Amino acid sequence: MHSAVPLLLLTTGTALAATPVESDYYPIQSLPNPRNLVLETGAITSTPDGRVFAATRRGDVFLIRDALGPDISTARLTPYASGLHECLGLAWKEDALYVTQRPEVTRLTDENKDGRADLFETISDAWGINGDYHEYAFGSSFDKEGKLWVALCLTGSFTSDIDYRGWGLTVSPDGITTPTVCGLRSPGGIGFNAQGDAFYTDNQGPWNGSSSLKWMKPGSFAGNPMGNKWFSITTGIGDRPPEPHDNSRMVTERKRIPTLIPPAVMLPHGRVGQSSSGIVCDTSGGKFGPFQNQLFVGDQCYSNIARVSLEMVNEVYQGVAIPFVSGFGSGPIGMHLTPDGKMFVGGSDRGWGSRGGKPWNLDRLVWTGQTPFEILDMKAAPDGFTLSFTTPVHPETAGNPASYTMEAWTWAYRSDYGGPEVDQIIPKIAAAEVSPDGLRVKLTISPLTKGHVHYLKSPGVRSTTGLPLLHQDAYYTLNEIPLKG
Amino acid sequence: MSLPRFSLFWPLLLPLPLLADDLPVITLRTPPAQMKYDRSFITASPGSQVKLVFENMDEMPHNFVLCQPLPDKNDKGMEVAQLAWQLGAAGNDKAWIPDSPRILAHTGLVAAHQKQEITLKIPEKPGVYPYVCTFPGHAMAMNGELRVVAEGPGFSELNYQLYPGEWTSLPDFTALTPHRSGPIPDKKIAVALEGKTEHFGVRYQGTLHAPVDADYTFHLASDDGARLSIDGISVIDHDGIHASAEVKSHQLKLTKGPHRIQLDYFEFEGQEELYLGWSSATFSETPLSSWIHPDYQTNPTTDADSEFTGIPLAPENGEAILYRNFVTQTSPRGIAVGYPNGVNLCFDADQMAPSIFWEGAFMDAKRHWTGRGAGAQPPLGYNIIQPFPAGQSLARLPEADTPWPAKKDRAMGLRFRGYRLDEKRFPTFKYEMGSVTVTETYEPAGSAANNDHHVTRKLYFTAPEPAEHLFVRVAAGTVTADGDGWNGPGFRLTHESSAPILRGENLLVPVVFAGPTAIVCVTYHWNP
Repeated sequence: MHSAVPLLLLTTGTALAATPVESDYYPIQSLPNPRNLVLETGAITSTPDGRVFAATRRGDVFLIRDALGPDISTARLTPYASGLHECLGLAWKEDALYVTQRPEVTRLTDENKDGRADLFETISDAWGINGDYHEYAFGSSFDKEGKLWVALCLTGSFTSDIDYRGWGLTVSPDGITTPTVCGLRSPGGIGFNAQGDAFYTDNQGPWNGSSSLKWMKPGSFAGNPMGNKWFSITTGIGDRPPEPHDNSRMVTERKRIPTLIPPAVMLPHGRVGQSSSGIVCDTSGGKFGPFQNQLFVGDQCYSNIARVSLEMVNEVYQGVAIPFVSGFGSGPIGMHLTPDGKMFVGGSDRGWGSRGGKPWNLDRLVWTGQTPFEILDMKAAPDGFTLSFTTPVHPETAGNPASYTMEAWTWAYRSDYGGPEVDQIIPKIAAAEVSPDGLRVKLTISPLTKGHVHYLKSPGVRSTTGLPLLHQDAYYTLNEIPLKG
Repeated sequence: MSLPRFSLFWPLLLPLPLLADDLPVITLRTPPAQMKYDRSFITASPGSQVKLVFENMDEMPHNFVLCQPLPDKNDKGMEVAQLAWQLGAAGNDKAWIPDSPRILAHTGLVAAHQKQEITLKIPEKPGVYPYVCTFPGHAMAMNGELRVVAEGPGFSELNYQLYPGEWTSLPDFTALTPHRSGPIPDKKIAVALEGKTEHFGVRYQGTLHAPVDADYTFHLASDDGARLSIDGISVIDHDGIHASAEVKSHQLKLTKGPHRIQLDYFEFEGQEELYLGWSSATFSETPLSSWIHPDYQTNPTTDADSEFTGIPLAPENGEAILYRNFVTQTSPRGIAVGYPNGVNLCFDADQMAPSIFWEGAFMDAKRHWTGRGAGAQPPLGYNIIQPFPAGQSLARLPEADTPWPAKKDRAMGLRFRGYRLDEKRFPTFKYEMGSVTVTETYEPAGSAANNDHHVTRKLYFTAPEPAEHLFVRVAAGTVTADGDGWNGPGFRLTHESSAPILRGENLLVPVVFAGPTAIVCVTYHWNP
């Protein structure tokens, strides 16, 4: 900053450099915050007329105007509400803002139209809180039936000391609250896929060997039994599932416990992230780039976002997690994708450190219009995997099995905190067959192991223009091996 | 404004009589309803004398107590404030000035909308001397520091050239013709020249005399861009449109004697601020501009995470402030409310009842807003009253001997429905008991200055048909009838609706419907 010759800085960096980086395609743009407002963002949403709302862990809600234009510096934050309790969910419906905060789902209305909410209606507070900081409540946007989903953390890491800690509830706008899923441990975010099914992220800990993305199938058991005691006060989803055996495997316990649903996608601890958080689905119809209908999952600790593509095999979801964008200033928690394809990402490092290093962030992620060379999707086949790519591959490199490596493993399913990767296998990549259009590669793999994460690395693959993949790592969670390709 | 009960109380330890008007004046104010001083620090030269004008613009009484620092840490005067608190009932008569050798100077207890002037003898020893308001409950929010610093020289001469123009980065002023130019009489760099606030640029040129051959550090902050040159060489370049939050510093060697200082600055739109200071081994950071940056002289002893630093919340702009969190003596669904006149309460949305009332400062959010936020936080103020133990306040008692319901995690049969904020952001709470809807409002009144704080609790009931056997618990424990009211621990209760009845330990107001509605209204008065 003391340089008398700043011109040197201006001579580099124009279009795509030789080795592309994430920000060539998806730059992170920070919202202006001239008043240094504390933006420990826990949730974000937007309205049909283009307003954006961000709610914070300190209990403030900010209205953000002019945040969707090409120049982020036009965005203006104004206080919309304050004094709420750890906001971790926002949704908009019929001129009202629904905030999921620690004690309740609240509908905020600005009745006198002065730009600040004045009516705070408690829609549902049908769950207990004991006074433990860990008792977070993450709220979704509205689902296809017009309901909100709420994911309730356990009381602490290991216990459920008051009603419905460790459950997922649905809440209708008139307040009808229905316990819907059990077995949650420490949710970090909640959202829907393109089909409208609800998912949440659960963090590594007891009964979770790693963080993962889990399907909130109504009536299912997500794997942590601590909250199952509350079957004593609800009959809504049938009988209490049997206790899982300790130090077992998910594939084994699934045979014993019919309602146990395996994580749709593992987000391998220490590889993809360490504390998975917000979930958004790209339903912008291409405005956010080539990853339509895929999910984007934040990681509070690694300050990054992973991309997830799901498929349903034998009635359970499974799919692939691929690193997407890293380098957020703090730990993403609240995420939202506007219909015009702008992703808002905000977070905090308070209480749990984040790589970003800043106490909070509120950023916008936009697609530049350039298509990165990426694995678009990875799907399971009876004898391997089918990869698709965003742009055509170079046939010789992509058709060479030596361009790929694969490892597979799973985690112990156990009551202890977290777990090591176990049952490692090195599958053999027998063949790599490139489609005539260069957009697909069929990998023939032996063996495939049900229940294992199959970690594909593709360092040798090149595009037709000679580029390596922007992200070479792909982690496929093979809950089921399909019978047909 | 009625006459305050506290007359201006002249400090016993005032070292000097009021003096001539030629002393430098430092004005310290207490803005209304913010529970803080308007300046978090003041600076003065060692051994000098200044006239301190302490102006209380708030509704509550405040004082100014300057303290000797502790040798090893900056306690922000908390130890002295704690001693004041311990004066208890005798505190008022002593203006909350305890007997402490750490007190260097102080004002009296200055009533609302009053002011007092004292002459301060600044200590000879450079350092940071905390000042604090010792009125109980104020100290955590109301404190600051007197920074006794040796100052360096200022400009021996300073001229400006003003250029109108719309720029987003610094123009080449040499290619432009100044609109005006001339000397700046007080030799301090100032932005407000000729009244322009938008679309202009200024070149300042002056002379600074370095006292000795040494390293000197220059500190620059600007909104918008600025560039500092010394003896023709650019040393700090902070061009472009930006706020003044960041202070850029640069150290360089200067020989003893005069040096040419040139500061180029431009303002596009919005705020305009410009700060320049310098420091060396022999003098502390000395402002060369009339505006002083908030980070000026950030003192190493001021530790943001120190046990003495909080995140005090206070009502602002005459509006109430809400804080939903874990509050002591309250179930986990606490909704604390701070009103502008220094009355505070916590509504328990698990029990549908007020849990506690208190006077003075509102809440310290540090516990919940740093780290993971574990535990329950007590009020920041004083004179906490808890009219009845935690539990519900509304119940149906079908028989005369039906006991009051035992406390549960959540009040049985009651459902919280939220609150509405009025134009002053005062909440009206709403809850339901079956078909009975209750809205509950609190009206704070009185002031600390008059020692007559009280708060009226109003409950409005509506039901499709009159509900029977409903009672509102308004007090419990050692409650005794006294004239037209009742006395409880720390408070007196009066009623503006049907009279309370004592049933066992509980003081209950019967809910008497007139058609589809009923009103229960009681007032809690803090004991004088």
